[in-house]
Amino acid sequence: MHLLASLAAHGWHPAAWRVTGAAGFAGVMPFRTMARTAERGGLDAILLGLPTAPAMLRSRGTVDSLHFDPLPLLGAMIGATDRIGLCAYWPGDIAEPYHVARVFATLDHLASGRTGWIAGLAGPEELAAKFQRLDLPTTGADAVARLVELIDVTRQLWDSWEDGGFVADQSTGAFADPERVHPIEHEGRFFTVRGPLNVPRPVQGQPVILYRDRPSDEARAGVAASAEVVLAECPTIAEAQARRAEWRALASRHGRGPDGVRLVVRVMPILADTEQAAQKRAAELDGLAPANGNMASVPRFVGGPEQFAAWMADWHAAQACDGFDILPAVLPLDLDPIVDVAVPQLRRLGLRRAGYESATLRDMLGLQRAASRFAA
Amino acid sequence: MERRQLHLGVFTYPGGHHIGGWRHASVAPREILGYDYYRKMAVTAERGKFDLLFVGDMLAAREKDGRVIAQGALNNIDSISITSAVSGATERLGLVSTLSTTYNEPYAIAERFASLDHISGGRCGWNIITTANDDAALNFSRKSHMEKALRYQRAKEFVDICKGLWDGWAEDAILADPESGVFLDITKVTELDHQGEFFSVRGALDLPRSPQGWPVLVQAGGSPAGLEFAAMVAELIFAAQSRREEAARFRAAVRSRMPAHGRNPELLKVLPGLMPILGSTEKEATKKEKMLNELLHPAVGIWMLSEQMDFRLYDYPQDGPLPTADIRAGGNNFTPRVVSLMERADREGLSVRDCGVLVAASRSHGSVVGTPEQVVDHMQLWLDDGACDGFNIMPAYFHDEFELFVEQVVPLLQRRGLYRKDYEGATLRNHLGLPVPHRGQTG
Repeated sequence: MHLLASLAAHGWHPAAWRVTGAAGFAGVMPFRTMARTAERGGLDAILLGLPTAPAMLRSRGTVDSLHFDPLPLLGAMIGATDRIGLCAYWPGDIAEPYHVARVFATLDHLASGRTGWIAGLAGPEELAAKFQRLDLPTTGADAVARLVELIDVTRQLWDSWEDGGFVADQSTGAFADPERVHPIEHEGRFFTVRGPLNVPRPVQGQPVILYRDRPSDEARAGVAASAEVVLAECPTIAEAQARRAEWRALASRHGRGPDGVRLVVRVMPILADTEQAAQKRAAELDGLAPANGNMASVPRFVGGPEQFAAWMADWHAAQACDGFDILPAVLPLDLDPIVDVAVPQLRRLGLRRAGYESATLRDMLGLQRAASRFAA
Repeated sequence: MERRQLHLGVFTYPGGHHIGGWRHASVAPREILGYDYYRKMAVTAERGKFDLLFVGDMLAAREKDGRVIAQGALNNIDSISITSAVSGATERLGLVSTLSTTYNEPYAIAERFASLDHISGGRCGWNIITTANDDAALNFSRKSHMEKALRYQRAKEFVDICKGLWDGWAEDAILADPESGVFLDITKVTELDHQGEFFSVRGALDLPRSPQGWPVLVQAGGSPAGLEFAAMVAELIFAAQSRREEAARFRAAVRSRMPAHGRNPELLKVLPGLMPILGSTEKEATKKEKMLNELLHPAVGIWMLSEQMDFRLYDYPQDGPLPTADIRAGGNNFTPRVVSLMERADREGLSVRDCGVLVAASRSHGSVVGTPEQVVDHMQLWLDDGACDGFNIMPAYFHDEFELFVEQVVPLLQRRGLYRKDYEGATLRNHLGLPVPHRGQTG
């Protein structure tokens, strides 16, 4: 079972900031602390930069609307952690493949192969005003086509240096092997990119591609060519089963096999020692939240941490998912018991490894490391 | 009056700034992409009480006719990734990252630097470039690189938008009052509504005002368009002049243009690049330089020269004179470092190969070869002649040559009263003696 944790300054419940007792803005420190906690629990990865509240609520000033650029935030996590995977959301709406490839190749080198790119479309309500790029599609089939091409070109750029392209032979003075570094000469509908990248092949070959799936997402069929971990918002086991089956079939259609893609269900736990106490906490939090503040498509779990482990085991046994993206309702209150109680419970059930066994995120998730498509 | 002191930056580079530097026996070239390589550099700089660490940016590989230059070493990997990564390993060191205004969007860049300024506790700076390398266009779905004058117009508008976004939040916008449930006083967040020639941006950042207000605004390069831009916006210039007189002229020229933009010339620091090659005797230092030049492959030098001059030198005899007449006939709008090199080639009768070595050895910035005393003399002379406010140190190779600088040159500078003995503040603005911009300030 894969276990990921999405981090946010105060937590994922819209009223989290009202109960943490923390100052409104504590900078990067809470993220460092949470990343280390997640690593203590042997989690596969932390996810940075996914939006915590709908744009409409943010504009009213009633939720914690603060948002770091996830890229420097990921950078800052590299030195704070040793083993855990580090993933950041970089929506594709206006992104350029050379930037995405260059930044993630750099991060992957700095983090010794622990990174993943969370792709997705933020949509016009998030981005339109800030960028107003009238030359780019913001919705519909064109936006999807651009995203699919963006991911493809980014991966080509990572492949532009084969393994062995970075020679660094001091005796001969050969820094690169020109036979193993290739221009990509991509000419597509949205992008024309010559390449090669000016960063050698990432440690993982390609950083892991995660995808932020949305309810009734139009991009699935295209993105299934590349997505390796899908973050899905499914309120019930039945919906998750259907979503997983859909993604597995789509991945197969792209010749990647059903196991080429892992479906991870997003869930917001609200925990306490007893179920009763957890229900009380949930009711208190909801009472403090603004109307329409919850992410309705993300299921919540309310109960004790052992029960949460059993709940995850049930979904997993029902083949509803390959793992979970945990969105702690309040931090660190809803992350600590997961690390201290739920994870050991999952280990006893044989669903989680004892500690870190792999150096890279790709290996940790059991995903294949592809050879460069340009290799002879 | 108190003695004017030097400001020091260290410019990172995979391997080292001497293009043969990565082949030095002390360098482990497989490690130059890893976190520890940059962490060690930053920690050493902080031990030497450096003002800042500087990371460059390139958006195309070093290549010629579709093939990467085999001996060409690497250029800088992504700057923000490096500076954000080392922010946690340091407490005082300024962190300057380079990002292009030609190939980015202002909202994203304003958010990136505001984030880094928060993450680093007020230590970040932005080296604003318009990207000089024509090849970058081909990696960004453009048929050709934007023309220089247009690039600087875009850069000006880009920076204005960023300032507007950085100024969006009043200091006290966050209420975070758990009783009332009001997190943010939205009346204290001003939305920018910009409609300009290059960009339309409406909105506010999702971050409170950062410790420095704005990152320290840095500019590099010194073409006429760049000079005017620097006079308008730069608080720090990474300069390229390798001769003292030129450097003094350049510094005076920028400073003289600042009052017209309503700016005080004292609030600009000019740091030319400097590659020191150190020895315990002058002879030893010269020997080291010779050894490094031997490690440098002539093909790289000629490639770098061709790129800088935007003129293909590959078919000229390597041992023949630099064809300055052909180069001048073939182009215009040369950067000051190219002009300076051509003048020197004519004066000294340098060959194509000589010039290639010169360019690749110090990447055409200034260098000084000698004992720590001689290096300090050189730096003092430049400071006292008004040629600089400090230097951006470009170690020939990492880490040994940089450690040597910190261990042997820095204490001498301190003893002569030319350099701080310790940090006095915690932010980059503080180290540089630059004020925190107040909200709504223009220019």
